[in-house]
Amino acid sequence: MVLAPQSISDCLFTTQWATYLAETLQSPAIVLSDQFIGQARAAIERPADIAFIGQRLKATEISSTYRRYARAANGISAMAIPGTRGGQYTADGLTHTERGTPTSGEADHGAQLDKRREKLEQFNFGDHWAVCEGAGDLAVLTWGSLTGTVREAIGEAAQDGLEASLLAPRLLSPVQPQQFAAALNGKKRVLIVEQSHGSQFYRYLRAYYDLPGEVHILNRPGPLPIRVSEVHRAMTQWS
Amino acid sequence: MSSVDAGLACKPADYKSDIKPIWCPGCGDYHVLMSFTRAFAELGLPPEEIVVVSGIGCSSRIPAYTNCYGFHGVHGRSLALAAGLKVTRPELTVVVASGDGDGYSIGGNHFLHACRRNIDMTYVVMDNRVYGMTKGQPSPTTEPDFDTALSPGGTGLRPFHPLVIALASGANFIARCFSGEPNETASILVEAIQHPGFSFVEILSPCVTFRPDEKEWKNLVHPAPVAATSDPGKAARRIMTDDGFNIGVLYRGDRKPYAPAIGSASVELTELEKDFEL
Amino acid sequence: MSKPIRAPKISSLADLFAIAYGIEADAVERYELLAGQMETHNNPELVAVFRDLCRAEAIHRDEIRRLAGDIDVVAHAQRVAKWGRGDSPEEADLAAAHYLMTPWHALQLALAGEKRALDFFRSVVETAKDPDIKKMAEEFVEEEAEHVNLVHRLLRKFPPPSGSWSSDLDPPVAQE
Repeated sequence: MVLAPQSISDCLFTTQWATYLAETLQSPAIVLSDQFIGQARAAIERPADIAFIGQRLKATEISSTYRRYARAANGISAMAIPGTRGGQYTADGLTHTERGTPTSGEADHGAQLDKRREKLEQFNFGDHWAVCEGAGDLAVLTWGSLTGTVREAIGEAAQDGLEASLLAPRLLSPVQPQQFAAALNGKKRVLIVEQSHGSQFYRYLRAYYDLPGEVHILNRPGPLPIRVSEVHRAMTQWS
Repeated sequence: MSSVDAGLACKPADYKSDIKPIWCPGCGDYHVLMSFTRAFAELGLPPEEIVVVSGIGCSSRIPAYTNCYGFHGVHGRSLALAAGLKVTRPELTVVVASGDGDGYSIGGNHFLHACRRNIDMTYVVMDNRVYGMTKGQPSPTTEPDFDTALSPGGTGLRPFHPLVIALASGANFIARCFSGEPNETASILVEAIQHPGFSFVEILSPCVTFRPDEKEWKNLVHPAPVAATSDPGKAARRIMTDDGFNIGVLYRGDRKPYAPAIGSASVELTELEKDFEL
Repeated sequence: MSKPIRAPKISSLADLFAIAYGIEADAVERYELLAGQMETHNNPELVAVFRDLCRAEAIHRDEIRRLAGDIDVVAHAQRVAKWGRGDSPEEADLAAAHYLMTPWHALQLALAGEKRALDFFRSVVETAKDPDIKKMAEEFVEEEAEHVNLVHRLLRKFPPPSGSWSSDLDPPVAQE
């Protein structure tokens, strides 16, 4: 899983959420902050108390048929903790069976790959997957620390009579195609804003999502952050 | 029913899984596995309270061949994984298994600091002086004149001396064994596991496929000519002059093991706020 | 440089039975291990040979258990059948295994094991002071001598392999 915080205070929330997801889904999570957030300092509102308590599914009642990587309906297998009698297994980086025994068999490999995919596809990530705000037929997509910049630009454009919505995914992987489609439903124009020389975010969106209507990209590399005025200009001088 | 379940004295078979090793017939690691299971039986530890942590390589396949908990981790990082485990679960017996490639090459940095930290665990390196799993490249302990198509004329590089590095970095127990003497190796493993702090045991374990010349090791190994010492100075002089085939315990230190106090971490922001009150 | 094996001490008839039992039980496990290795490395002929040797040793093991009568040789062997150095006499030398080995090689390992066991029981006969131990050890000597003869008879069916027995047209060494 890859999660991207959108501000300094969002780092706390996103990391808490990532920890919860990693424990619950027994999958690794990368928190993709960026240099702008990492080297900034700000006075922020006191964050909310922890909203998530991640609990790994543990195997406490061990039967003789216990298999560490057994296929479950939701893809999550109970984990025996060292010290639990009868639950011994070797956590292996090699392709393995449901028991954990290394194998080069096609069926085992396929089954475990399916299990890992099922875990992530079946999980309901809820509303935290992205920030979706505003209305209008123009959607502005961004991620990470540019979320605040884009939000401010949308506010300024609104004062000029141009309505636009903001869509900033916090969960970059796994992708959420249904939620994404719902968020962009009815949009006729999409502006993608990213601090990137090779427009990586745009290419990522193209790889996994359908982008409706006319698509413009505002991208340039650092070190100077993209300014509110640049986004505002791109929105209002659409041609 | 295992001996442990039946309340009987433990047998080596209680610590062996039913998974057949993939090692080549003739590999020294079969004997190392025997030494592991004999040592665990001697110690009488419940299998579920032992964790064998490894990296990558032929030697690192060993956890799955035991009936203990195991972690077959990424290349060279077994000591980092094991340290995290031992610090948070100090009641477990943690044995780390590695090879000369995994342990001294890619894992070399972790080796230094694991010795320095002196966390109470036992590090077993099966040294066959070659990268076996990747088919025969020279390793840090390969002799400089090991002449093959992969290293024409030999590397010309002075081999790494793991016992010297272990001593200089602070390991608390240092020994060398030979896989072809599994009972004596098992005895040393028992002592290593029982000795507080970071114990390092190098086991010379021939690779029959890529170093067939190592069959000769059974005729070269010999008991160390001097007794083990707890004086690092004496140990240093002794280790610098050994011929690489001295077998036995070389050094027993008395450093206190590193064991941070792991209490319940505060998760309340109000607690943290107190640190920042003006 | 061959090193002397430190044999376990025999202080009683129970010790002798337990050690004799342990020798055969260790051999069963060792041949099973070698059969598994040959199975993994696709040498089915040797799987069969090692499994046959395993079965033969199991018969010897069970016979000793029967002869021991009320003595719990299994539990007692765990306490006393500890060989100070190397393996117990009939454990085939693991380092001598080869993925292309032939039945002749396997039987040579078996022969060496039976000869070591024979030498061991002969030394017990020579050194035992207790007449019961001596008498039983003499029976074991006879038994092991018969095992040696058996292996010799099996070897007549399997001639020594040619000089190229270990050459592999698709060797594990990728770089030549």
